[in-house]
Amino acid sequence: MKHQSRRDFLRRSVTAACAGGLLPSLLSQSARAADTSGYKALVCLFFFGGIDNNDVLIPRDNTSYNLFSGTRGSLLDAYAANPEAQSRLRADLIPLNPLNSGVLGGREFGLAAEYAPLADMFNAGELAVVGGVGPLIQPTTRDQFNNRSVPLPKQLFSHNDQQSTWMSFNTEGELQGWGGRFIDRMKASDPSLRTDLAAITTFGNTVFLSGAGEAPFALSSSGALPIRLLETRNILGTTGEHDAVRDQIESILTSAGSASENILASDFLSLQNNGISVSQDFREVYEGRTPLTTQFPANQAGGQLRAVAETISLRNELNVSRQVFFVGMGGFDTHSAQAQALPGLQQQLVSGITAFRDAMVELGVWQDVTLFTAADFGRTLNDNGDGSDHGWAGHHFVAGGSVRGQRMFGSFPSSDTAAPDYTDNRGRLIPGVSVEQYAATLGGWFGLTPAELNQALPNLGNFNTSDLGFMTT
Amino acid sequence: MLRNARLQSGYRFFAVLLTLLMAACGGGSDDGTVVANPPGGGNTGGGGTGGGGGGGNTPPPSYSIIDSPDIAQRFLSTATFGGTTAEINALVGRDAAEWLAEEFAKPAVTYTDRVLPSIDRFTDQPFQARAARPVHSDLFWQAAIEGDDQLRHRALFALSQIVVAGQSVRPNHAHKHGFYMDAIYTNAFGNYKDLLTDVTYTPSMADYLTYRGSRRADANGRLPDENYAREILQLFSIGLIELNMDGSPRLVNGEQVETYDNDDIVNLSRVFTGFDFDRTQNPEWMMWSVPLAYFDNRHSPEAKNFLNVSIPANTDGPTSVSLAIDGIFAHQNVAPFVSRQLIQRFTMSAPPPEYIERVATAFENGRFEAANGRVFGTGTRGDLEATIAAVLLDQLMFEDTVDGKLREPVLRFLHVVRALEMAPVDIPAETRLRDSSDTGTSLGQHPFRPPSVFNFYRPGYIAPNTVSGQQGLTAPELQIVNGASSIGYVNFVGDYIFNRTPDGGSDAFTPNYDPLTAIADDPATLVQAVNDLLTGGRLTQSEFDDIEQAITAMPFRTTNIDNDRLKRAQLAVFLVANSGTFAVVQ
Repeated sequence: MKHQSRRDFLRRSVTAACAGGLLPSLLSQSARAADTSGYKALVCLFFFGGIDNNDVLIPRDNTSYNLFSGTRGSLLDAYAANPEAQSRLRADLIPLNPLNSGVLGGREFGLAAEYAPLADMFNAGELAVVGGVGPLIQPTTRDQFNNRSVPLPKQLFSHNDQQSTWMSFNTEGELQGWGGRFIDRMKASDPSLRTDLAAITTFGNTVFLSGAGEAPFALSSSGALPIRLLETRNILGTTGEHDAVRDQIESILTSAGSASENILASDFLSLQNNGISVSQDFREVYEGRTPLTTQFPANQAGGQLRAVAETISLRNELNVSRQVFFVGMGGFDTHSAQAQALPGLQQQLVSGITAFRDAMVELGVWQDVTLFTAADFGRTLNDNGDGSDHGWAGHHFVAGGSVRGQRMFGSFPSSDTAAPDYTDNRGRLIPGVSVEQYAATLGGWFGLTPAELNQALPNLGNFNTSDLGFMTT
Repeated sequence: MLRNARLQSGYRFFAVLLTLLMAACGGGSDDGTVVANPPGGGNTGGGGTGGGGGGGNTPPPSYSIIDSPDIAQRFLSTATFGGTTAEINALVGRDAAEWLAEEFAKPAVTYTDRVLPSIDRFTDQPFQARAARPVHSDLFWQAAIEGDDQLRHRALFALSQIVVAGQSVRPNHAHKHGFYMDAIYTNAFGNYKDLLTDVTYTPSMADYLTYRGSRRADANGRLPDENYAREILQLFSIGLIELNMDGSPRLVNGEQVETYDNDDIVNLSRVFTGFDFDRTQNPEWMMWSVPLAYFDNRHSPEAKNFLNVSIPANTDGPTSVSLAIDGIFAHQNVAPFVSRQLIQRFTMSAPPPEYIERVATAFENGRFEAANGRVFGTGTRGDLEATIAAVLLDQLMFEDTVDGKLREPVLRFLHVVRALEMAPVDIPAETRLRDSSDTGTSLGQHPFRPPSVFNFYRPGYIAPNTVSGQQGLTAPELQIVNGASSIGYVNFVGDYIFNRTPDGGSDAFTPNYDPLTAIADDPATLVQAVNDLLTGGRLTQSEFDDIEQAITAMPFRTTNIDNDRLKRAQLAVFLVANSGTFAVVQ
């Protein structure tokens, strides 16, 4: 009975949503409120462990390359010795020829051949490179870092804290991330926005998506799964009386209401049972999806990005107009055996991104979806024999139909570890642009106003621009 | 009083809390420890060694005497993988300290000794073919379900979540992982410094945190691998900021103080150079089951200066490691850092400062005196027997006013298996126990296989969008609770409860429902029995009512009455096992 009524409720909300979708929100017309019209999605692809920025963007002009190869000789030898890895020799790099080559000051950069499909997307104008991004409180130089004469992000070089800082601008323990705050600001402008499925993670709980409202929805890369006791009728029994019991069971498993005096028990129930409840709602729609033609690779990024693409394909049925997704990959903490481990991970992320792009084109929403990469930190330019250690800034990709592709933004470091770009002679890169500028550029495209961006991004005002220019406006 | 105080006791509010407590409780003891008049007197003070003078000549009854089945059930839920009815009843009337003393006296039979024979049988085959199963993991499941040394295995599971060498790489290399587990298992009631040293020399950890093969700097720009230097400090010993004994941050001019900087890491990284596999082993794969070998010509000759440690130039590797661990271990943070996490793994997700301080004091003194006068520990700093006794026998554990610990999925699952008397079980027949890591289709957690060195969840995790989060209370286990994980858990544990394993086939895991089907004719009696068995009678009224209602609605007295009784019993266990109350041990 209750089972039935929940389904009815869902149907009603979908109907109402379709009707509402025909009427542009009045609020969204106002210059002072977020634009929630149409559909837009942000997809964060996070590289846990900290991807080696020096193996994302490799200097290609002779001077820079010689400095580069001189300081990570052992590691480059290891790449050369691995038949599974593509060459990092200068001549074998894929050159990046950005339309805005002026930003490079005459220098040249290339990508390793593992990235060839992304180079194609770059050349097709669907992908941009943002160099030297990392957490900052304010612009910071090497001298300022070493003299501690400006405020610095706390616990630099610590994985968990820098993951948290990238996602939330504070070390571990912060309760809200910028993905969640973006949704909060949207909801404040447009109370009709559906938010229980606005923040979706395929990589477990993440502060990035947490805001002031509902908990983010966690989606398995296997899709929305059934509760077997409810759907396999012979476990309990097949009579109508058993059906009535199953309704009661579903009601128990989806109601967070029976608050316990015990805070942990009620928090657990609220996360478990609300999660099951939203999942059951989602599943009803998900089961009716049209399968995507695009094939996704069977790797850790592929399954998650397929689940994201399938969810986006249901945007109308789900009545969502703004969504932020979080997808994660692990294994990037390549202190050792980097030449064996990283090329495979690069192939995975590249095949995942290109399949996702194909699926978005298939759905006709590539203009409305922006995928961007993120990581704990970059890594040392100087190697440790067969790997690299924790750094700070990294280089990232932004892909989508609304990206100002075939361009490079941000800052592009010298390959000399003695240069002002680095904290010390291991070559830990100081960010040239902050995560908050990166986020603000995405958030502006997503529909947030400058005032809302400042609310969501606490240190944004410390930087001279809040728009790095990589999104069409 | 304690309960209200505890609710505000997130570390951010520690200073306020202490002031409030001092005022509200009419003063604490002079070292700032606030205790609720410990009946045994004396053992919780700052000195920690003082004999119980507070109680006068006639000692009052020990608070750790277990005087009811409900208390026994709850105690066993903290110190074991969950009690059976027989174990619960056997504990009533005993002092928990005496039970603990028996557990500490049980010997460790090493994993290495037990996994090697299972590998040697196939010496004529290449290694990959030999290791078709994670035998070490099978043995752990087996011990947790059927084993007699429950506390040592709880300690192994707890400590493996602090000193993490995850087993996702080469998951079936039982001889590799077993040797790492032994470094923890054999030291679980020994000394934390020995544990840290032994783990450091395991090829498993050296491979996981990549100092295996790390070499001195060379002219080609190569510098030592910094990985282990960073994580041994951040995760295994002292953490990132200086702590008081009660686990709160030590403030200087209102600011937290970082324990180390990057120069410390660069220096400490030189210590962990020159170590690699001992390839002289025959067969060679035994190199995973013996300590690392040392190669002097690869070790950094430079001086190593970090924390308060100065290791002179040209000190060899083993001496450097020994001096480095001595120096790290001497740091004031170690006691509160380790104590807080052990409390979280056994008894409380958000331990109040005074509890942390009592346990940290036992760690410092290497000694804990129980309420009945029994003394645990050797008196050496870092003694884990004393520390674990302090965790489990703390007076807070015998009050019903604390929120306790949210249990991770592995503990909840094992509790159901044990309480339903599924032993003896056939682990090798149970394919899904080879790796229960998947969220969504499995438990979302497999012992010793966290996704990274940061474990399954962080000790400092504060859950967004929750009441505990608003109050600044840590709840590590909530980090892996969400809709997808919950459906995975509900389905996984449901299959064991409804006896649908493995994959609906043979009888690898067979629950004993006889005690419950015998009383299944009366729904209220049945639910109460399951409530007693699984939660120590703690279900809330509304939980109880909802479950009773569902049981009552089940078809009954049909042509197959035995089946109807069984389904009622199974459903009662299923609903209790998915309740909020069962998830918490209190």
